Amino acid sequence: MLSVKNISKSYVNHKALDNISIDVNQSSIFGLLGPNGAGKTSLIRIINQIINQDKGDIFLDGRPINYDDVRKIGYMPEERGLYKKMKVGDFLLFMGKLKGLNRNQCIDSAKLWFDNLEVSNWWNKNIEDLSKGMSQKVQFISTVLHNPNLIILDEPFSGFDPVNANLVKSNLLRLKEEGRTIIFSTHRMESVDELCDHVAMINNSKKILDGNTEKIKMKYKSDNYIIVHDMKLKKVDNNYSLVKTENLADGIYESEVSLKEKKSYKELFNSISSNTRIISFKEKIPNMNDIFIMKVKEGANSE
Amino acid sequence: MNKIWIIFEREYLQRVKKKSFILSTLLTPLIFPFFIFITVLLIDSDEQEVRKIAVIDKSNLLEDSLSIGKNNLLKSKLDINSLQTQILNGDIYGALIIPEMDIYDPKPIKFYSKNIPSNDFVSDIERIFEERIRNRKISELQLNKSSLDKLKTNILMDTYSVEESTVSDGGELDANKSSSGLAFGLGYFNGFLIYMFVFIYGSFILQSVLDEKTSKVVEVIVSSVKPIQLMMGKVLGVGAVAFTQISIWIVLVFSISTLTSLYFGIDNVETTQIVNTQEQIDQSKEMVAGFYELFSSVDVFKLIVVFLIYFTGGFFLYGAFFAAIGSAVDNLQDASQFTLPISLPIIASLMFMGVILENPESNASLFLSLFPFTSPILMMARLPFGVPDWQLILSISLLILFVIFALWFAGRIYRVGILTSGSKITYKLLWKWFVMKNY
Repeated sequence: MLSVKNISKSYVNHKALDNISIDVNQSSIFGLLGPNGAGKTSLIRIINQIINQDKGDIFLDGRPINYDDVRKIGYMPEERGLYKKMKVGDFLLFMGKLKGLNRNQCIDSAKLWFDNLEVSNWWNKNIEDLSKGMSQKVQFISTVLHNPNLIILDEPFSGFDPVNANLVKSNLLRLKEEGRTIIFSTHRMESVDELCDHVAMINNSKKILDGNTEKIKMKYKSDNYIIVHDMKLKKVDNNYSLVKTENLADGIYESEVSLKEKKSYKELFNSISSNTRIISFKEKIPNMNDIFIMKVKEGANSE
Repeated sequence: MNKIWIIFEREYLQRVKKKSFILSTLLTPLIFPFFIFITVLLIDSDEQEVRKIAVIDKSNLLEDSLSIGKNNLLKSKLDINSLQTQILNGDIYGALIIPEMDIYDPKPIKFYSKNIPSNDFVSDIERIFEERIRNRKISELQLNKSSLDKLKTNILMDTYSVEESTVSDGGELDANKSSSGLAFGLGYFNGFLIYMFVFIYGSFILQSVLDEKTSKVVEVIVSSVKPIQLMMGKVLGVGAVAFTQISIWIVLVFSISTLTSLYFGIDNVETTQIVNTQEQIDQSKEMVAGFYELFSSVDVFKLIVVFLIYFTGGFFLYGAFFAAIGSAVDNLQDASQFTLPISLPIIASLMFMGVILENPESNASLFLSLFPFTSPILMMARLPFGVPDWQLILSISLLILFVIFALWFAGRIYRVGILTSGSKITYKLLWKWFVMKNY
């Protein structure tokens, strides 16, 4: 749906993006990952035409993106705020009008979203009376008020407590089911495992990883297995080496073992079950956090 | 265009609905009548109190007692030391000492009091003694008083401004009566009004841009609006607020002054003056009548149209720069180093205004009323004295040209500034932002 091709961007003093390309599919959630200062926000701002790229193109549904397309994007920037001296309703009306809605459309849509985010009708509340979490919700509502097809969220979960973060997550998943496309950036990985179908990782202005979330996890798994069993394992074995073992309770152990090269998990299973009863046996799949830390460290070492 | 309107609407309504705006708009025009009212009251209450003044008259110029306005002059036989005690006790207001003198070579008379007497008092007393000495001279020299009175002449010069359209009517030009006094007053008023509004509302623009930047709402907005549209909407919105305020003020001031003059009446004002000879009353009545005649002679329509052009132009020119500054800095403290150079031409305009009003046709006046940074204030100051059309057109064209340039210049700074925070802003950096091709 959205494809970004060979984008580069330099500021006065440094290079922010170096030849970045990504492809985002319709009806999916795309995670843009990277440490602080990696260039995520620059890329998002370029997609929204808030700043211009030095090189590269952006296509929406196969044709170059234009300003009218950009206006239809639901964009929630990382640096976000509200007019303190306004009422919530006036602000939502203002934002809705900028996105081309009329007054009634704004009111109807706001009501719907107040329900979705489990808040009472805040239409007449003063913005300066809102708590941080509440104003984040108003931010979010103002982003999706005009029912955008493409939603871009820069660090959407900062400022939300876990309960509200989950509320937003479930709403994002619902939007995806409805066919919307969502791109969000984050440097916090917990949300990525739950939400993202596809991720791209940017570090030091370069793309260092791109692909389907599950495929990336498979690629970066280290052939380690987590086994829960009732007798102690042998320290040395032809099939595995013991990474660590922990006594969970009387006669219940959890061990992590590393499969030796050219051995299969069947051989591992047989070898272990020959001297202990296996309660559970699963491959250790890395989460995005592990991969993220590994890749960022890799990048730091190679410099 | 539609988006500029949405931004404009929000900016305008938010400001106009504020309590502080409503209060200052409604109360400011009331402040001046209020002060006048208080002053009239004070003078009225003063009037009741009679001031006793002891006179030691060694030249025998005065009668035994004389009342001038609220001052009661009484001849005293006491010496100066006991009078001093009386002054300090508050028994008398002061002591007037007239030394022995030759009336053809008079010496200064002396007045002792605790408080410094007003200018009016001093000139009133001086006038009394000049009159007394004159009368004494007339009788000593045995002159004929009535012949002397015939010597007195009073010539007034009426000034007229001539235009090409002026027609001659039976050997006389049917020109408009002009008044340098009125022109001076009107020029000063016009210039000052523009100065005030450019300054106050310019800083409102700065504040408003800065607020959006610090509250971080700006990036949310520029995802649906181009930065230049946001800036334009804002400058227009704040400008419209200024326009609203000045319109309300004009209406209020006119209606209040009409009402008060109907209530008090013009005669009432005259009686508040302490000493009035018949001559002075006649003069002031003449002046008032002349003033109305002159005022009706001023081309009010042209004045208002030109005023609005310079008001708008000056506001946009400076507003653009104030917007650029607001976008670049992170807080109000940092803004001051940039607002100072921008404010200099405005402040200088106010200082030059005196010079221009004295010499409205000098080369300096011409230059300053053409130069766009000073023309909004100084051309308006010059206007009542009569300005050739070509100068007016040139000045307005230059102003429009500079306004366009200023908006373009400010827009380039603004687009980078609103999204950049935390960097130390220098003129060099602003220049880099300005020339930056892709942002």
